Amino acid sequence: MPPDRPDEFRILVPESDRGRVERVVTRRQALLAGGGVAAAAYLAGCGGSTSSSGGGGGGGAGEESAERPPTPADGQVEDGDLLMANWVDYSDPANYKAYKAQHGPKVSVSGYGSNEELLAKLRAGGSKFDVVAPSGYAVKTMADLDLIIPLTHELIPNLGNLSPAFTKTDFDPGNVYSVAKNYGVTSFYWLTDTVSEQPATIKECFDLLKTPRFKDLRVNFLEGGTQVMAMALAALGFSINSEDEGEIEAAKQLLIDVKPNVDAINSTFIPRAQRGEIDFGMGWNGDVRRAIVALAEKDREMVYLIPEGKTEYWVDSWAIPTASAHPVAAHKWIDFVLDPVNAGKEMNYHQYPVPVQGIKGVEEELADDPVINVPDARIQGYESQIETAKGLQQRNRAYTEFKAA
Amino acid sequence: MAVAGATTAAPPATARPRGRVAGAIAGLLVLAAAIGIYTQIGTLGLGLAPSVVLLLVAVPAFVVTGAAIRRATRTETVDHTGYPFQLAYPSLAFYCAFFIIPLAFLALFAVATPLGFGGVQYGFDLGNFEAGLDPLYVEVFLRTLRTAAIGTLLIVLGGYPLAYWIARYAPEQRRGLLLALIIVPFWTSFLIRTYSFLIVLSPEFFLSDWLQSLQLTDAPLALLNTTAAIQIGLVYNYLPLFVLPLYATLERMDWRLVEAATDLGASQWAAFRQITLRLTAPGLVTGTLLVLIPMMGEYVIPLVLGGGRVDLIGNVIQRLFLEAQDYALGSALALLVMGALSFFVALYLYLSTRTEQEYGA
Repeated sequence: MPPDRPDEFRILVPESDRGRVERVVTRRQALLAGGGVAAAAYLAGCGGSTSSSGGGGGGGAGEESAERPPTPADGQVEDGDLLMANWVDYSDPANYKAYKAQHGPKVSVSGYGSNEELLAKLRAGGSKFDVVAPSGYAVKTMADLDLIIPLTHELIPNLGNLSPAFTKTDFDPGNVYSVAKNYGVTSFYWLTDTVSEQPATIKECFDLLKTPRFKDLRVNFLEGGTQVMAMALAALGFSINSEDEGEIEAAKQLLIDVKPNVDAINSTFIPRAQRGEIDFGMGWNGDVRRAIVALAEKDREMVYLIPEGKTEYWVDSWAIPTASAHPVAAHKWIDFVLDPVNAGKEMNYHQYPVPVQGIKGVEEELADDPVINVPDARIQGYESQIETAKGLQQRNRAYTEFKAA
Repeated sequence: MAVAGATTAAPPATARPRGRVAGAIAGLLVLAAAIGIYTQIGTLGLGLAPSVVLLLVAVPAFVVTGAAIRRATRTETVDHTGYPFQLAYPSLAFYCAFFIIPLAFLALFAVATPLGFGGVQYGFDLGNFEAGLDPLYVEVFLRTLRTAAIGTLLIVLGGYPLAYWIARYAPEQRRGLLLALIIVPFWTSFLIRTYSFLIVLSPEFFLSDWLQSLQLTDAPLALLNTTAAIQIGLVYNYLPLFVLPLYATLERMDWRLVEAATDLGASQWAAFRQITLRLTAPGLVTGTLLVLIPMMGEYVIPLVLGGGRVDLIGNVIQRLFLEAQDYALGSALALLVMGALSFFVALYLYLSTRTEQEYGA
């Protein structure tokens, strides 16, 4: 259990997952399919099944900053489905059934592929999600924009199970708006039969990427300005949240230097990694673990680096949007997944550590796997992303230059 | 078809100079009013929705005013053919809902001041356009233009002979089948067609082995994640869109004209250049525009076949909206691209219709 987190936290993008489901669900994939419409229809479908409660609930959540009274502690679970927006394949479907059996509402899930996408959906209004799972920095942004409501702790008796380190995060001290769901790190992985070197830091990974030999290897990067720049900044020893022009410039240059050896920039890397089609790549530990397990069955070895020094680590958290029509049901869901048994099922499913004390039923190999059990000492050196409008703009621009290079 | 419209739109030769001056002044006044509304709309303190409504109401108002002025300054009335205009309402409504209204949003966002995280302050701020003209974006735009132009050229070089052969030499009873073969891939989703090239171009596929055993290449195919792969994907996906309109014109072609030309001593090439090419120019122009314009907006193929390594302008705009959440710059860039593209298309139409007019096609 990591102690005090130095900073804010950041994402997870488990888009990684098994082909089809994901392809239908993630927004990016849906857009690829020319299916923005399909995705919208999907969401509209979800929204349609909600019976609008009372008069004030409608309208664009983004422009409605009117004070919303806190959810009453003795509130009854509302009628209608619990509308969840989540990263794809990021909660155990068996838990949806168990929740329905225990509390009544059916869980209806819709996927998103980035915090920015979730933010855009919440701002646009229309889709009245009841529970969402943004990363730390996005929790702060959403709270600042009044897009999520303060939690009523009386409705979450299991909150006491949350690991103490996660009760005083920088992005939301005291769990006013959010409750940690799971956490992970971003780093590099490689196949040992094609990469014999053993880099120990993010910097060494980038140094390796510059060597001419890597031209012949299949190298995959994650997508997105904030993600890629965070790793480049970490490699140079700067804060991953730096807004210093000189440091941003240096990180961008580092990316441009390695670009000739980068074959693909694609966050949907797990299927290819599982088939052994990526020799060296950037990825999230829980997702890469799936590839490691799949490759081990074919007697191939993949290594995930838990680096010394700097890298990015993130916490994804449950939160309840202001537009929710079923806030009590949403609180019950958060309480439900804080239960040690349900938390264990969640962890077995998405393979990221869940910070619940006394968590039960976690598969042994998973619980002991060094890929996801990052030592506290290491985590203390890591950093989480903080999102600012200026930083976003700088990173997007640097990323566009990297792509244009 | 587009050509015919362009050539007949010439002003009436008998317009009186006085009416013309009055019309020009009135037109300028209307334009000034339009600019006034557009630049001031943000400072009226209206929300987004009322602004869009105002902007939308303003457009038909201008159209009606313009029509009224034209009617007042012209003596002869337009002959109505009795076409039931109501039949156009559904498509007009659709066009309005899914093109005009979003365009009005775009126009408003483009001159707003970005506040970060998707927020904007409505006003009249040309800074977004300035930022959009940054060399970085110009470079991406030019790359997109180059990619689309090369793609179009390859499609013309490959598609013209194909359509020509089907229209002139293919056995008549086989033409339907041949056309069907061109159309059938279109029944498959665009995404699946694009993803299938991930397999076709992969070094593990038999194509790579064959090319090696034929000694055409000396190493496994390394096309995936390159601009060449993007180019191949573009040509493959858009070829039918070019072949079909071109075939429609080639099919109506009177081949006796070509025979007459050769009988009178023209070489095959001269006959093709001076007769066939000119008579099929409308189909050629329609076909090229039909492939060039969507190619300019393409962003799926670079992601899938280009491995996300290279951006086309569509990718940059998409990221400005979804990732950087800078709606203002994204809108300005989108409008700039539309403007630049309109310029190139107008230039192309002008050049292609000019030669056509010379020969009275």
